[in-house]
Amino acid sequence: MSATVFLRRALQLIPVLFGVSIVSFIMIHLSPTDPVLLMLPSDAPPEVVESMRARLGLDQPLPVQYIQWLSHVLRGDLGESIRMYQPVSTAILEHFQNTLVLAATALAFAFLAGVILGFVAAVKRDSAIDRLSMIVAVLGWSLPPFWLGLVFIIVFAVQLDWLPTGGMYNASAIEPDYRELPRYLVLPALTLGLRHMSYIARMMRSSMLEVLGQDYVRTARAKGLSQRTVLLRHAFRNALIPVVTVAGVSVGRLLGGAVIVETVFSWPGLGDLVVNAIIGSDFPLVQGAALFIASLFVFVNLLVDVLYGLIDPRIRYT
Amino acid sequence: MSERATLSSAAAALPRQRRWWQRLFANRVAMIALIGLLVIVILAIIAPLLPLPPPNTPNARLRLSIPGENGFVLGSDTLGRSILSRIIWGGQISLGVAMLASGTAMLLGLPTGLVAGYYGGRVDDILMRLTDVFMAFPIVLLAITIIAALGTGLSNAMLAAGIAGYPLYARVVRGSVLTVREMEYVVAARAIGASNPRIMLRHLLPNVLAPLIVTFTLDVGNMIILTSSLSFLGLGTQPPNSDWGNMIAAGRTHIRTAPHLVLMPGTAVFLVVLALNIAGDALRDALDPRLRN
Repeated sequence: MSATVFLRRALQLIPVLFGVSIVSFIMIHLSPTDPVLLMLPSDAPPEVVESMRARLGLDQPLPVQYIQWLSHVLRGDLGESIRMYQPVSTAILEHFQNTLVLAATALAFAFLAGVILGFVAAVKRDSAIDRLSMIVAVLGWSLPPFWLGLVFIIVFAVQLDWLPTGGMYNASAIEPDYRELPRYLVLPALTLGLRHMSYIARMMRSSMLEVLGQDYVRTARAKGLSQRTVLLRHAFRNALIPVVTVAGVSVGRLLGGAVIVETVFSWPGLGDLVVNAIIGSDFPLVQGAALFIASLFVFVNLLVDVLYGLIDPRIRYT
Repeated sequence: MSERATLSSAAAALPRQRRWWQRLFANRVAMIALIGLLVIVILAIIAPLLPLPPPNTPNARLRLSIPGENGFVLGSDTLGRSILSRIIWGGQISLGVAMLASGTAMLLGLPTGLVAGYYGGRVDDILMRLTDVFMAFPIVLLAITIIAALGTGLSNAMLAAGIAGYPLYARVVRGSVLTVREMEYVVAARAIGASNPRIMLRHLLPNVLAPLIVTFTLDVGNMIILTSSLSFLGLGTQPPNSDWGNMIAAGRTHIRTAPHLVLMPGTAVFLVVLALNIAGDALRDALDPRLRN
């Protein structure tokens, strides 16, 4: 991918990001709840309410408010959280680290397991292994993550007592001990990753089957290459290309799915933060988090496109 | 005589082109899924006629019965209400909301995709950029943000899920329209002076139907997961009414003592979504083999 093409692709993001900022902004201002009343004691006199409103700039017309908000956002200032008494950007970044740990683990699991499952299914097409892996894929795709998480907790945490029920570290300890992290990570990461694993497995299988039917695979076989070389060097690498895109789309979905899974496992991440912010009508926080996640998603998609161009030089951008 | 014999043997030699429903009926797993789905939908619809205990009437003496105890097939909840009855009644809400959410998404996405694909150019640019904006938000996040704006509750959750789900339909429809809009019969229709709405509705829409039905079937499954997740978070159906999502949420505090409160309604969600996914895959293979990936 040449630099100009990359630049053009990156410039296309500007209107989308602009739209994302408008949606994040408008959504919150449609709400019937008045944030000013939430910030003051319920017996605050009307003139105090009005002066607070003016101080926050909430008495201005919406377009003016939007421009003020945007100019702050562009300088990295997402405002103050109403409930957490700290800058929204600080709250988001603190929690985002935790989400990143969870989502990255889930994606790694989903990608590895999905690719292996799909690959084996395609190579052993119509065998019992193929059928079994596709049954696993359909089951995995149909399990509601929030429920699967609870079932995992019931089985592995409550009944068998092998793993903790939630959190990131032993909350009763004085200092968080992150050496324990893997034990806390297993269940939420599996819960979050399973649907994506199923999706990737199905993609990988069909992509692999398509590649195996190509002429160059027949040529490779005809010239006497070993089955291993044909499958791994010729077929596998090419079959992986569409799967990488799917994995890229999964990143966004994982961030969305994390909202639910983090709630189930009390994982102190961005999703948990957003749900609590919505329940507590913490508007600046909801707004900031929505903007942050959506922008992140847009950039990840750009990254996937670039990656795609690197793996497959045939791809042209228009 | 001999000519006739040749003809019939030629016809026999050709692989018989089967209709889409014949292909569908031949798929035994899909048929089981479809019949199961039909049974669940009918049970939910005729819930008032079934000999079930009332779903919302508490009975303090019969609290937390395990499945089979006190005449409760699937046990009773913290207030002594029959879980079986609540699952069947809750099914009305869960299934209804999911279908209406998918319907809303389709209602928004179908015209968007049709117009964008047919007119192309500027119109396409604007509509699809707008769709990109909504696609930029993970669907769960967009739905809960919309609920933050509209307020919690059943109809808002449904609307939010519908808005968050529309880009899927817009893209599927636009894609199908693009493949047919330059075909001769469309050009011919334009040449004889058919109006744009007529071309879109009479000539393009029928070509979009197959992928649309498949998308809808698979989407309802996803919408059941999405809307029950919203209810689980306390943003959807409000008590005393219950759907499968908030039944699971209510059982959550009792997972140590009464895990069936979580397991039963969750199994209902899982089985329905599974059936929809199997049926959707089979429909896709039967209706439009090209869509298979």
